[in-house]
Amino acid sequence: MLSLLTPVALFAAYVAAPAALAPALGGEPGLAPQARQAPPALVVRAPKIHLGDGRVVEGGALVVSGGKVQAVGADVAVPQGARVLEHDGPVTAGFVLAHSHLVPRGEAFDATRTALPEARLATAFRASWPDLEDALHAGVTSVVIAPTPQNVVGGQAAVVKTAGGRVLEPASHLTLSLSRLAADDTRPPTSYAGLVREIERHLAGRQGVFARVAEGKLPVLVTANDRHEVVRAVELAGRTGLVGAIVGAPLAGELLDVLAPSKLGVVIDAPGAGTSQRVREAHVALARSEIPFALRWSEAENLRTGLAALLRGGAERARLERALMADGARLAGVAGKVGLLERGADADFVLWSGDPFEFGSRVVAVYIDGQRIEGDKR
Amino acid sequence: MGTQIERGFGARVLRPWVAAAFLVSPLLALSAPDTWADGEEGPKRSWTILAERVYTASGDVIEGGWVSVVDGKIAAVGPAPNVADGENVLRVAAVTPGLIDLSPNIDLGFNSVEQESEVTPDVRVAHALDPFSRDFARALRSGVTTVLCSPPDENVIGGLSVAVKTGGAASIAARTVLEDAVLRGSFGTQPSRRNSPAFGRARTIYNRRPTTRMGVEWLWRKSFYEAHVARQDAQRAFPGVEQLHRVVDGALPLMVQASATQDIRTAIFLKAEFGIPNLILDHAAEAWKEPELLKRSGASVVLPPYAWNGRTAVDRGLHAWNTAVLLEELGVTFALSARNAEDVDERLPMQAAYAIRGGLSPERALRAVTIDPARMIGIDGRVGSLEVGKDADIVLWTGEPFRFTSSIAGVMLEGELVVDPR
Repeated sequence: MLSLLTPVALFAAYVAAPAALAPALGGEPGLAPQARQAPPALVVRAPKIHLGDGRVVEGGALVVSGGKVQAVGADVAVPQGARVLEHDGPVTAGFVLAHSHLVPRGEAFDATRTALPEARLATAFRASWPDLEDALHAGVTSVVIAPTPQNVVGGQAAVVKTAGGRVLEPASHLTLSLSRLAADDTRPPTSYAGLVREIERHLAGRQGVFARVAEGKLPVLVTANDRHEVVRAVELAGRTGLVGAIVGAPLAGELLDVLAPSKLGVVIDAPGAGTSQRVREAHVALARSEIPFALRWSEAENLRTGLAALLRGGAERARLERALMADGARLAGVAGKVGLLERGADADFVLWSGDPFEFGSRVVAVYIDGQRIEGDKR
Repeated sequence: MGTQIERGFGARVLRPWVAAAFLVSPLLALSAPDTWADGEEGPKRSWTILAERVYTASGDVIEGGWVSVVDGKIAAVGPAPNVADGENVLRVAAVTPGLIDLSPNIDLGFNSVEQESEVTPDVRVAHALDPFSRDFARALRSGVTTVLCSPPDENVIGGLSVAVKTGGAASIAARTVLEDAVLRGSFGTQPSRRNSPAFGRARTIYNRRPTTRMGVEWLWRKSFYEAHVARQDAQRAFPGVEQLHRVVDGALPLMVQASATQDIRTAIFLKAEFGIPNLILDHAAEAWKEPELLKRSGASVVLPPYAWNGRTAVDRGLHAWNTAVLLEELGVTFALSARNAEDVDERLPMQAAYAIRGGLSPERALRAVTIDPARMIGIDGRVGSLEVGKDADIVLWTGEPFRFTSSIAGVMLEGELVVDPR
């Protein structure tokens, strides 16, 4: 009998051991999950916490646990056993960009057909893609990855985290293009009229994903750059009931009367070294309007400096913060999960060495889903 | 109409006692303060225009006349009452209606014609135009207030043209005077010149038919024949068949580019074969060479711009100064066009001057750039002449219109003074 029990006892001891050792091992999930302890809460204290919608909490704290925000404010209760982190610079919510092509090269454009409504770019998402790290170290924690505008219907975009590999939303938008890139004479459609006709045909047919798009249940990201392209996109959206945002539109600020009744948002590039004065003034006008706008990731890392230029040009800081965070999440379709530091949101936030809009400031650390990634020296 | 003072839409704004006081005090008659206000509602759209000569293009030339504009519409036209100067009073040598160009060549090039197929009757060029284009602004500055934009003639049948104002709101839809005004297509070399056959595998979309004139004509006849078959058998319908049916029924004019004589003949034969009631021949400088055919067909003509070498830009048709006069003698309805010339001396007002130089009467020349093109595409209810109730699209001149020594002092579009003479 003893000889039978011994293996059982040994097995039981084997199973129980990790649980007994769990505290020493730092809470690893083992073979006895019921014995695993929750990691301690993290409390971040900082002189300024930028919540993401323009509001700033002064001298308060952010409580994070289980990868989510538990509380944030001037007077928050510090849970028992919490680790407290004192940070001497600003803390902001992680930036949310509403458009990018941050996938391995060549993956964002499929040349087989000009309309690929069921294609999902989430398939190409690679968490270790180096460009994602660039975005991370610019303060971006969530980003929309979208197909490029060479196809009239590029495919379905996704929202991903810039570290940790989490796909927040595998089919967040349908990507459409009304830009000149989608109308060249190597293959149909070759004209703007052809682009409009193709999109209207799909919407009328209501096949597959277009059923949801036609009912306004799935937002679209429509690329339109020249002013007439933007006007065409807004009118198409008006005729067919599309919701979502226009991507590109550097002169959207000159078309406020056209955009305002449409309820579409605008996703712009932050101005950079080569951006003309006219475009900068248009961006400032856009920032001073009520039209929701967000930023996209472009190759040059001028996100913060570009917005600082708009600040100098007369845009309000609160509005620019909203564009980077809360409105970015809204146009990305993931409001409530990211973009705003509030109870229940993902614990995505950034510790800065100074004002994020200042060129000299850098990222000290980024937290994504509560996991810390050290800022590098760039 | 004559020389009576017209009471039209504007009169409803005026109170009854004003009508009696009108003869006594014109200023009282004009005082409807709300309509003169500028600012919140946008630019000023109410004016009093006094001209030594008012060319209405509806039959009258009024000496010492006036045009009263209220809220962007013509409220009165006639001999001028006594009017004191004011900030909304304009005095010029002559006024004409805003000019109309049916072949302005305003488009976005290849991006305005859908070349997925050579025959695309259902494609709307209205979806492929740029309202911010300098081409519109240039036309407006030269007195052209309404244009018919068509798809470029790279396709055999390019699609539906749209009549738009050359200025105004920031969208083609808002400027549209008539949607789907004509169905546009082309004969001749232009639809085939870029094509080549695919020996083996096709490499580009240009490896296709047609490659010659007869291929172009074949596609025309094939399209209308298949539309005819689809009428008997609904299963044989195809995209664009509705537009072809409307053309055959006369509900939609067919406008084709046909420059050389053989292309004009081909177009007229097509009209006869399929019973197309309403045919407009664009760029048809050589139309006078087939007088009997042209007259019997009842087709109307849009003449291309005059060139100093006497040849048209497309297919080098013969186009002498007296081409317009020859058409007048044949009794054919025609209009002049300018194809969006960049050169100031080649724009539509100068085309009328050249036609006059070639022997055309000034009254006919005026009509050929105003009311006749309006009638050809059915927008004469709204534009084309200075008549009560029509849009206040008016050109203000420093002297007699269409003279080499006169110039345009101002241009008004729907009451807005886009080129200010003051």
